[in-house]
Amino acid sequence: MNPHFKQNIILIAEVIVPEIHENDAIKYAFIKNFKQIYQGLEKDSATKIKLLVKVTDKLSYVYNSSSFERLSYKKRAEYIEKLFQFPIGKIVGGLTGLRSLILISYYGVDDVWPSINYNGPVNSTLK
Amino acid sequence: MKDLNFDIIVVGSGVGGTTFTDYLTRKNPNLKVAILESGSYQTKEDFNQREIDMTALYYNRGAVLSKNLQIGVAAGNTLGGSSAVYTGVSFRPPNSVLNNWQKEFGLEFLTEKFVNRSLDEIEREISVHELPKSWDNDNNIFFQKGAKKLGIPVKRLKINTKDCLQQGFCNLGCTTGAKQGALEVQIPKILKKGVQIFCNTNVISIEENKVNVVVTDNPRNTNPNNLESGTYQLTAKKIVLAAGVLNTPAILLRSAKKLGLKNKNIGRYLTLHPAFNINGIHHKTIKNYRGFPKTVYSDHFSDTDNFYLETSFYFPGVTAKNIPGYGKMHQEIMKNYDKMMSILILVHDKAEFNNKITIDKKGNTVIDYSLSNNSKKALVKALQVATKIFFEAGCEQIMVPASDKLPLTPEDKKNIENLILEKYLNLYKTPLSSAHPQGGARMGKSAANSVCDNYGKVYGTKSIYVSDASLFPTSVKVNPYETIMLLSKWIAENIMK
Ligand SMILES: Cc1cc2nc3c(=O)[nH]c(=O)nc-3n(C[C@H](O)[C@H](O)[C@H](O)COP(=O)(O)OP(=O)(O)OC[C@H]3O[C@@H](n4cnc5c(N)ncnc54)[C@H](O)[C@@H]3O)c2cc1C
Repeated sequence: MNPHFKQNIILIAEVIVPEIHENDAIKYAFIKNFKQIYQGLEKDSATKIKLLVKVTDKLSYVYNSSSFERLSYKKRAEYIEKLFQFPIGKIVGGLTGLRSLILISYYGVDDVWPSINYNGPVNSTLK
Repeated sequence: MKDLNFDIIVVGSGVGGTTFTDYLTRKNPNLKVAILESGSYQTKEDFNQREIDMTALYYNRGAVLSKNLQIGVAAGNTLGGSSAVYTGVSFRPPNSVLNNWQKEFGLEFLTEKFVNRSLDEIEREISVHELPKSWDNDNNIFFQKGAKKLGIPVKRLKINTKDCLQQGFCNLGCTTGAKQGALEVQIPKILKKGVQIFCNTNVISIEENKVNVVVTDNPRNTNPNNLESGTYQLTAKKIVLAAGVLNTPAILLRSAKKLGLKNKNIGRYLTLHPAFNINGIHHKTIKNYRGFPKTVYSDHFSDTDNFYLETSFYFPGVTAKNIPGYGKMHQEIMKNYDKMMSILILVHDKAEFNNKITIDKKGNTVIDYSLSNNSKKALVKALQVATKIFFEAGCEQIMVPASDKLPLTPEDKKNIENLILEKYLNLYKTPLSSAHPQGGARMGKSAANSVCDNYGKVYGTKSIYVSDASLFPTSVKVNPYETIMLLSKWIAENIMK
């Protein structure tokens, strides 16, 4: 993942799960999980996510007269909400898909589990 | 260089391919048989019940989306195929479906005698049984309580497990081998009989008696390959495609030119058994993530409204994905993971010509599927019924798609029919999913409406057969595992005749 892409994923993820915005250790663990999943995606899907992130950045100039990276947290959240209401279904569908990957990556972090009262996997054969 | 000539080559090591191989080699022990599997060689020792790691068992990490981005399809891409990650719910095909397949598609072999005798044997071999009531965790107990209050009859599910330790997350691979899928039942048996299995071996195309493959390096932490990486052409007297619904039709489409296939039905009549997994928050801590996730279901609405309800429960990430919304409120809802009840809605979708597996310019699978108006209606009605069950079971907050309000709370109880409506169902935003794809190489007496004949042979070919869920002429309406085994057994018992 190139640094710009990674940064934009974190910026979107912070809106999807505010805890990522508030806790650096969780942010680090989240992006590690996201990377693990992202690198296992088929090329076509990975390209589509890259494209979606690019579109998010580009549309930010139209809606906010600013790059996505420079938006305040509040503005970023408002802008993502706008994208979820976007008239082009495929943008909403793509964003919903990315939301899923973000949620799976975040809730896959061991240190998040106590906050949802999940005791972790029962497993007799951990390597 | 290994000898790459075989009597039979089977493409895919899922339940279709391995059941076929098992039955074939019972009657023909001297045949030289190979199974080619594009996934890697992993067994129970490699599974760890951790969500992030185990997404690797699935195609595209579990994120295969339809072309219109409205439905996600989950399928295993590993040794054992989807049987490595399935739950073990075992249904016989309903009589009404079998009658329809006999009458409309000419599948005359599906007589009551053949079906019952075969399924008695299959169920014995894969240890199908009803789970005792003592195994019901709170989710299953509360589901029954809620349904009873509403007068909705509930039945007990049958499962194929042996000595299950109830770890909870069957869909991340069973670490003890309790689940009697292909990894535990068929594969050990056929390996003993000398069948060779080649993993990380991707079948690109086929010709009469020829299979063109690319072998790639085995991923880290998986068992080594028995063929060096590279491109090969293998030969066989007969080729059996069992690459699953996402890939059997795609292989046929990629090979159509060389095979001279012009059948317009290839890839068509795809059904997905569209599903919602929804959650409610109970007032009690229920730790639904432990214990066998599903023991009961209701088919009460099957004939009238086209859906089944089953209990279910998922790991934290997938649960979060299934709960609509995001941000602070979503995070607060997730804090109640240990109080969550869960219901799986399964809609019977009609087999329609326009719903299909196609391929893109690179030859990759494309799922071209649109949800019909009937299916939308069924989903909405099912969401309303499931919400009522949650409330009657004691839930205080309910999070469902197609709802005008999130979460629904007890004061909404009387207004469910006005709050959950089709007009609120935005398919681009809802986590609609499928784990039961069917069709695409349907079996039938005539090439006019089918791809394979009554023996699974692809119309217009001499040596090519299909043995997996893509054979289904229509949706079987129930979880499809036993029906796949039934058809695979039939094909195996007749292929050498
Ligand atoms: C999470 C989950 C839970 C489920 N739970 C249940 C349940 O409880 N009860 C039930 O009845 N059903 C369940 N199902 C559905 C059931 O598991 C599947 O319908 C069934 O296993 C499909 O079997 P198959 O042989 O048709 O295909 P698959 O299992 O998909 O097997 C196809 C195999 O072919 C391989 N392959 C594909 N393309 C190629 C290629 N080009 N070259 C080589 N190999 C290739 C794949 O990697 C795969 O291993 C579940 C499915 C999932 C995903």
